Amino acid sequence: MKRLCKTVEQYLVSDWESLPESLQAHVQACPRCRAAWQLARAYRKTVQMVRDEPVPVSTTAWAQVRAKLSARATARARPVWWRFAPAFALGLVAFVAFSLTLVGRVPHKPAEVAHAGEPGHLLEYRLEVPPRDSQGSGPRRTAPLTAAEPMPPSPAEGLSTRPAESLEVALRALNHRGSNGNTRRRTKSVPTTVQLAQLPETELVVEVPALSDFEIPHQSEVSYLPIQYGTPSGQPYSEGNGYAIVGSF
Amino acid sequence: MERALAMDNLHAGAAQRMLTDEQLAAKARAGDADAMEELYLRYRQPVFRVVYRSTRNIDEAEDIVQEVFLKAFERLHTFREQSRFSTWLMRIALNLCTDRARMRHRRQELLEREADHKLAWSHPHPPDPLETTHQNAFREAFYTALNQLPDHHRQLIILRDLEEMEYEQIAEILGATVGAVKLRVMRARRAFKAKLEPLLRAIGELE
Repeated sequence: MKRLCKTVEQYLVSDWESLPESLQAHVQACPRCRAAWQLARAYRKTVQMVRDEPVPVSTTAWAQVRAKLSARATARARPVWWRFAPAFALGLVAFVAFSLTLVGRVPHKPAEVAHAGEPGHLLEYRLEVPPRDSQGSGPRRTAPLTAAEPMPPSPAEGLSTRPAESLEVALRALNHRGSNGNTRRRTKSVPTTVQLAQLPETELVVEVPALSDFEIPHQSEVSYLPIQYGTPSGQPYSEGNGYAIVGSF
Repeated sequence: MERALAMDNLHAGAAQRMLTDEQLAAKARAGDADAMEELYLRYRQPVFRVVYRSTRNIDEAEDIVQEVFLKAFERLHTFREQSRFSTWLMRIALNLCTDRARMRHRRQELLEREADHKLAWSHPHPPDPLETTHQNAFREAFYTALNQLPDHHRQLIILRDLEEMEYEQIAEILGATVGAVKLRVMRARRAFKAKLEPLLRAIGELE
């Protein structure tokens, strides 16, 4: 029986339209083969009906295809950047417009910028003193000193005593380091004004590191004074204070 | 003068018609528009038939046919003449049909998701036999089942059962051996019948 089922299946697979008489009896008897045979027959019928259905005729003319073909060929012939040209042009126009707006709105760079330290900024003072024995002929020795004290407010904030105080701090620090056995220190006590005045101008240098910039909002309120060593300008100078004001503005 | 020109064109057309596909393809590759036109006229309808069977939409089929020929003429340099021009063209058509079917399927999925699965576009109800004629019911059942098949099965059913192509030709189109194509056709039919059976039962064709 199973052998006949297999034979029927082979006939179905092989697309035979009718079965031999020997198999027809089996198909009538075997429900599985009968169902398969009925399905195959219905399938053939359906396929035949669909095959007979008239297929519409294509109406696309060659002229249309040819026009599309040439359009594509033209598009392909253009360089790649051509596709991005409109976007690029738009971007360029936007950039130029933006630049012109900026040029019209922003004033020129402020002509005068003053430097001032911020409060709390640590300054490093470098006091250069020639060795006593070499009388200025030997190499200059440098004693870097750090004044770990906050810097006073900037002159713009109303305090103009910074140079004098700074020097005071520097000298105090110098003395302090001397007491700690610093070999570079040459003065054991605070120098007097006379002593400082005797030193060549180039040998006593107070270096101030680069300070932050700030803009002066009203240019007309700023007055610039020449820096003169030993000439007080920010604070009235008094002879008896024991300190020399090195420079200020 | 115009008449002479028309006569020349007629003779040229007749000469083109005498050429084989491969000769025309060679001329078309060299940029001969007449050869292209001849190839188009020869294979427009066979390609359209296969595409229409796959899409069941005239506009979409026309669109795909145009695309097939545009692609073919643009890529004629890749045609190596190892196969026939017709099978090469048919392969392009089938590939485009597959692409379109995937796009359509994706679109339907999106629509279904948007409609919260209230639209059953890809699984329509079996046609009502009372509303349609018996033949129409068969056809509807057939195409409904066909559209539920995977692409490779659907192509084989169309090529073998609807277009009645020889196994050798199908093998050439698909780039497979004849034996492999026979096996695939058998599997495709089995899958198709499984889809078709409930539909045929619904229209009263099966007990």
